[in-house]
This record gives sequence, structure tokens and C-alpha cells, in this order.
Amino acid sequence: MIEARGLCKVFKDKKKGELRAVDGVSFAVNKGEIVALLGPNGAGKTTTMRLLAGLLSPDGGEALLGGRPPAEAKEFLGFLPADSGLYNRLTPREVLTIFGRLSGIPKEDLAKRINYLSERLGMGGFMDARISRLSTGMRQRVAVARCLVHDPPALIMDEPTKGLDVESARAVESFILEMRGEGKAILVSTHIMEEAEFIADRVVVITRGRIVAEGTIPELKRMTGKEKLREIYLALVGGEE
Amino acid sequence: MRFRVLLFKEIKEILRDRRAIISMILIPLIAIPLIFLAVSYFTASSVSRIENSPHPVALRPGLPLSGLDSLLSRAGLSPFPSDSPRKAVENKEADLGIWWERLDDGTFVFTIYHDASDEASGYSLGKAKEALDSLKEMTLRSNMEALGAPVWLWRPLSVKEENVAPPQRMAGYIMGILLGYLMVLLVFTGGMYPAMDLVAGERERHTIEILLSAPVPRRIIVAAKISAVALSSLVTGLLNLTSYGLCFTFIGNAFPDLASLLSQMPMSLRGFLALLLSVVPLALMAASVEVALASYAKSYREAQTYLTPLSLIVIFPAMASMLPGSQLTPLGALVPVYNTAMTIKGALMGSLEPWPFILSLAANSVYAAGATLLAAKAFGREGILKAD
Repeated sequence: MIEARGLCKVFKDKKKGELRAVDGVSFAVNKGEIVALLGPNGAGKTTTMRLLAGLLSPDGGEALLGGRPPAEAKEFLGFLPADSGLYNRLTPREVLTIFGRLSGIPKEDLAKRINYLSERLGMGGFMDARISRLSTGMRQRVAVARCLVHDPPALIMDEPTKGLDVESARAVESFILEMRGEGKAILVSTHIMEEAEFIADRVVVITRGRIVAEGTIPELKRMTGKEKLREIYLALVGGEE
Repeated sequence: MRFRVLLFKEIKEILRDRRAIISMILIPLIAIPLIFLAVSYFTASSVSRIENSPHPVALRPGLPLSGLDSLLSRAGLSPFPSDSPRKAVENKEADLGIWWERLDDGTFVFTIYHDASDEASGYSLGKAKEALDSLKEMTLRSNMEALGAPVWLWRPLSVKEENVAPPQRMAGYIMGILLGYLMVLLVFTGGMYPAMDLVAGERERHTIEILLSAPVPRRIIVAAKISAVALSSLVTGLLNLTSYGLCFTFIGNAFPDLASLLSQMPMSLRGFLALLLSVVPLALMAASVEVALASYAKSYREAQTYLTPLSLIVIFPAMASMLPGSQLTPLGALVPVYNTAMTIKGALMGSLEPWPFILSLAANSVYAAGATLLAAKAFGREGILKAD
């Protein structure tokens, strides 16, 4: 469903010169599967996700969503960026309505979908409040609902629990697991090893733009001889984090 | 449909932005009328205070020419005899001091002492000059009549002035000059805050990524932003003009001549349509340029740095339209901003020629299309994802 085939992205900077942010990255996320993308800051995770979401064009290789280039298949994808901003002057209902309408959902179906998400994510109490007045946890629930409003078969979530307290983070994680149960292909990036262990079926470890390991957690344990994902990760990225 | 959804989203955001509401609605609808009211009230009360207060004039006594005292009194001044008129003015005992001397050839020289830093003194100076001119005329007439000289000898010609322009045309001329300049400036400044907010603000608030990930082509996103900014420009322009119009109408007390002239301003349906037609492509061009510039800014503050010089740049062609005798020529019709200001001026004066108007409209439409492409290119850059 989500596929990276030899993806490359080079950024040119007048001072720093050329930077290969992503260098030949290949992996796939299948239906009903959660893949965690792990790597230190600046490893190329966000760039990989932006390439897969069609926000950036690759300099090499290709990104595919349901077998199509992302720019042509955006309706297949729900994208949750890291540091996801929301429209502070709008209400959650307005944001969900706008993004639902942009995805071409008919009005009546959209109202039902918004009610479902509001109920499922516990947003009923603040659906008509300005987003600027919401707490971080509430805002993150709105951000998750926003990327799910058109019920996409694929999800890319860049650090979906960043800045959340344990309780709110667990609620988001549970919801992601539920989405997997509905057959969605989900790619998640995170710095929280417990989170990756809790939700991921497979893990892709990336550093300096290249994949250094890929597999299920038991496979990675065998590969590195380490027990905890944190130790596995440090062994793979060379103790960079 | 998606364009409409985005346009409504942008308009909703503008209408909920305190800064945009202040510059777009509160300033024209509240601040400008209040400023006008305050200015007209203080001007009217100051003029009436000066007119109604006594204006003492220290006058050297013993002038052999008769009639100056009564001429000064008729002009609303109060002459009193003084041996040192200059000191009387310096000591604030009089608005003016008049000293006269008789020269050897029998002529008189009058010196008027006044205080240029005092409004009452300035007012009295004008009145005293008129009185002395009348005294000169009276003395000349009486001397010539005593000599038996016919009028044609000592006043061989007189000049009369008559303005043949009907009041409507005069009103159109004055308003054309003002409106042409104001409208183009307002169109540019009116779109600045929304452009900064909808583009650089969106980057700063990290909402650009979710917007670009929506299944909508970027050209539709940028078209919605340009349209929302252009709409704000037009609303700002029209609200400001309405506000100025209403203020001018209700300031008859302070400037009765101007108010009565403006009440006769001609505005035919054709003129109004020409005005609207010329402003729309300008608004689109201004909005596109503003969106393009704001696309290079990572924050609202950075966008201010890029956009503020724009309002200074457009002042020059706008001011050129105010030059006396300027006409919209085919070459001038190709100069952006200037051509719109001139079209508005021509539409209000009723002197707009069809060909320069059509040429200016065509040129502005081409510029607007070019600016839109520029904005789409600037907004379509991958660098737009970077934020502070």
C-alpha cells in the first residue's frame, strides 16, 4: 500500500553544499500493518515521509501509494506531520469539514464521519471551540481526526504522540492499533522505543539517509543479540542517540 | 468545489484575524470617521474662534490719507493709535502693527508688523492687506478725479476670471486626483496583512504541510489564497472610500466649498463600471505579487520586511497620476498602477478615452496573469515547507 523504491532526496544549500537526506531507501507497508520508522534526528525520517506523502519530489527512485505516485493518490493517504499545526482560529468541526470536503466526501457522509471520529476520539466536548483554546492533548486528537476524516486506507504519522502525556499518548496509540485492525497500512515515526515496541509489526531503522536494518522486533533481536528495542536501536545507529 | 471550500476557509481565517479586522474594517469604519470628525471639529472651532475674537491693530496715528480706520474696521479689525506698532505686536497687545512713512516724493510706505507664529496675526494680516489695497485704489481714484483724468488713462485695462468648468466636472477633477491615488494605494495596502497571514503565517503556524497534503492541486490552493487576498484588498479599498465619502459629506461645517463641490460629483454607471473594471485586475495583480513575496518568508515578521517596501514602490506611479495636466496615453496605459489611477481619474472626470482604457485593462490583465504564475511558482517551491 505504501512503498518506497530506492528513494533519494538531495538538498542543496549555499553554505553546506549538497546533502543527501535520503539515499536509496526501500521498504513497504502492507494493509493491516504498522511499520515504525526509527532513527536519530536528521536521519531522513521526515524527508522520507514527505516524499511518500507527495510533498517533496524524489531525486531518484520512486514513492508509491496503492501503486500510484503520491501526487496522484493523495486521497488514499492520511498524513500527520510532526509538529502538526492546526488552524487556531477555526473549530475542530470546521477543520474536519474543510478537509473532508477537500477530499470530496458528500455532505451527509461527512457529518456522520465527523460524529464518529468525535465520539471515538472523545472530542465531543470541544468540537465547536476555537482550536487556540484547546490543550496539547485535545489538539493532537483533532490532528489525528483531521488525517482520518476521509477514511484513507494508508496513514503516515510523523511522531503522533510527540508532546503528549502518558494517558493521551496511550489513547492515540490504541487508536492507531484500532486503525490497523480496520486494515489500514500505517507508517509511524517515533523516538519513543516503548511506543514502537507496543504498536509496530515491523521496524525500519534509518540513519544518515540509509536503512541500516529492517524487520520484526524478534528478527532485530536475533540480528543484534540485544533484548530491548532501545539497545537494538543504539547498536544499529552506532550510539548516536 | 474545492476552490470554493478553500476560499471560504481563507475568508473565515481573515475574518477571525484581529490584525486583518483592524486594518480592513475597524480603521475605515471607525478610526477614519473619528479622525475626520475630530479634525473637522477642531478646524471649525478654531476658525470660528479666530473670526469671532477681537483683532486689535496698532496703527501709527496722523495718516493724511483718509479712510484706513474705517476700511480696517469693516474688515473686522480694531485699529487703535500707537506710536510703536512693532512693540505692540511683540508684546501681544495687537495682532498687527501698521507703520507708515511719507517719502520725499510724496508717496507713502506702509510696513505691517505681524507674528507668523500666531494664527490670529496671520488672519489679520490678510484682512489688513485687503484694506490697504482698497485704500490705494480709493486714493488713486480720488487723486485722478481731482486732476480730471479719465478712467481709461489711469486704468487702461482690468482682468476678469471665469471658470467655465461645470461644478460636476470640477468635483470629478478633484475626486479623480484623490481617488485614483488613494484607491491604488488602498488596494495594495489592503491585501498586505491577509497575504502575510495566509502564506507566511501558515508556514509559521506549521499548517502548510497539512494543507499541501490534502488532495488538492497546489494551483487551486494558491488561486484560493490570491482570491481571498484580492477580495480583502477590494473590500478595504471600497470601505475606505465609502468612509472618506461619508466623512467629506458630513464635514460641511469645516470645508463648505469642498463639501458642496463633492456633493455634485458625477458618477455615471459607465464611469462606475470602468472604475470597477480597472480595479479588479489591479487587485488580482497586487494580491499575486503579495502572495509571491510572502511565499519566500518563513514567518509573519519576515513577510513584513518583504512586503512593506511594496507600498513605497507603488506610491511613485500613483503620485504621477496626480501631476497636473497628465493624460492617459497609449504608452502610459502600459504602466501598471499609474494606468489604473489615471483610469479612475478619467472615469470620474468623464474624460476617459476608450482606447487607452481598453489598452490599460488588457495590460493589467496580462500583468495579473503573469503575477499569478509567479505566485504559483513561488508557492509551489519545495522550500515552502520550511518554517522558522
